[in-house]
Amino acid sequence: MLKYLFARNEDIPPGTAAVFFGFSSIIWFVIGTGLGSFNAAKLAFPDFVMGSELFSFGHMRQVHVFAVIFGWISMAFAMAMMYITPALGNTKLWSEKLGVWNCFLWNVGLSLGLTLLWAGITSGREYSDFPWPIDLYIAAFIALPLAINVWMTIIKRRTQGIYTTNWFFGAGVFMVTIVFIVGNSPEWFNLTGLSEAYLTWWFAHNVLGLWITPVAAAIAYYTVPKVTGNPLYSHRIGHLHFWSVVVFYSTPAAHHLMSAPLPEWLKSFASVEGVLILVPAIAFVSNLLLTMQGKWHMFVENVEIKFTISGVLLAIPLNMQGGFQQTRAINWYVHGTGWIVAHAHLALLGFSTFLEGAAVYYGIQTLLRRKLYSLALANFHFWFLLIGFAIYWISMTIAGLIQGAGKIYEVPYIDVVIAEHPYMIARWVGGTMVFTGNIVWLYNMYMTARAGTEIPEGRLPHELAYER
Amino acid sequence: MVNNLTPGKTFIVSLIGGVTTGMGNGSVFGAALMCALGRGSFDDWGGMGMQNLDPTTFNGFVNWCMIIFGVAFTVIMLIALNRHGELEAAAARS
Repeated sequence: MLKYLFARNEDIPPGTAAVFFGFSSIIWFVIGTGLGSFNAAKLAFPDFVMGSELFSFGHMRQVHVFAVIFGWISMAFAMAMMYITPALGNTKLWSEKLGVWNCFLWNVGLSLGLTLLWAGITSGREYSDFPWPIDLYIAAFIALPLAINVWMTIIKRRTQGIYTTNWFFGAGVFMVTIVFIVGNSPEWFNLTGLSEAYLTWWFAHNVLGLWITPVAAAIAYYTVPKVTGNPLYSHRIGHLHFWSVVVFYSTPAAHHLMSAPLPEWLKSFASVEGVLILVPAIAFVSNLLLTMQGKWHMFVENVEIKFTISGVLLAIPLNMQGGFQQTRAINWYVHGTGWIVAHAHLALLGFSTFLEGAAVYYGIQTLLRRKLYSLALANFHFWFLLIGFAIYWISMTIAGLIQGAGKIYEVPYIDVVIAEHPYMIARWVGGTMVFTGNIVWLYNMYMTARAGTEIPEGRLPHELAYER
Repeated sequence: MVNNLTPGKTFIVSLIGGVTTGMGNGSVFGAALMCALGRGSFDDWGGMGMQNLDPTTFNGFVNWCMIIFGVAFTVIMLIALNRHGELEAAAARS
């Protein structure tokens, strides 16, 4: 990477930034899920690694969350944007050099931020835990350069229209920059009380609603038509998805605070908007599943489609839960329980990870002109990810329901802890399977770069048969 | 071209995809229903051990809602994929 940082833009091969982002994202995924497995072990076996506050759950938890959100998910998004945006505009990335610098500064800033969090230097607000200097760094050196590169590539496109994916990409980088700056303002303006709480959850919800969910969906809008060869079922439904995300997904933040003394009208409004999330969700799922017509055999034969369609299917429970768990009655039941932890993993480890995984698999093969090194290892990765996630999600949902029932029945807290202990062990098993699968993935992609069969000029990776 | 989406070939992916999807929908259905029905006596909370799978308890009922939805979605996926496979195989032969 270092030799490209100071090279002329014209001398940097197209796709360089995307490849660096792709491998960075996989490495952060291994780190993030490793930390997750470690944290889950501490909940399953409370005596595991004692004696140092650095390895206490309170120190480690947000390092896991941020490694996964800013390292794995967001860098995989950046990777997808670096190769999909120009491909859909029939052009090159606006500045490969800016992309390489973006990736370099991203890794440096994230490493610094996570070290501070690990040391206990934090703003103390969930999901916006980074101290303000790191916030400014992220806005200036991570979000803004990415946004400029994506917008300029779209502006400089050589196609007449803008495909649905690039609508989402262009809007996603705009929305996340605004959300990040405004959402971290409580720290800059020393806001307290309900204002701080509301803005904290406005940030946390909108990172999911206006960044992770739409950008992950945008990737699927590219992957499925590209790999199957089918045109997107409906561009109009794609536009319905886009605009309903912008309208309905930007406003329900107050549903995270249904038991707080916020104005009642605000909570009711947020709850109604929360249910309306089903509009973009149904538009997305139906559009992608209908695009698969006549190509369903690829669901069991092709790695990228297997990942993408699994992610699309996981959008169904995600949005059914998300749409209704925030209504007052159900929220009273499940708020503050493991159900919410399960739901968050359904969004990040289920739905979005499977879609991004497909983008990274496809992108690295396409950009390096190398066929996937081993189908068997890719299938190992897929199954460990899917089964590990399913074990995690099911056990945590059941544990959350136990906690909720314990709350309703006023069961002594220690009895609830005893009751949910088996599910904490299952959670650790599931999380460790995901971690193991990711190590295999990193090896498989490294070997793809080193020893994958070269793809002939004019051919695409999914057109060639798997060799191993 | 043969049908590559028979239940035998898609069983595990249907099982996991179906169970996850069904349990997600079943969880909100069960939770909403129990919120509407309300709690019973203290012994019926259903959190501890195998009571968690006893449908006569508060929590066990929600878990059974999840299980039933999960099985139903798995069956739907198996049937749907098999029919897609048959159609695609027929289209490839013609």
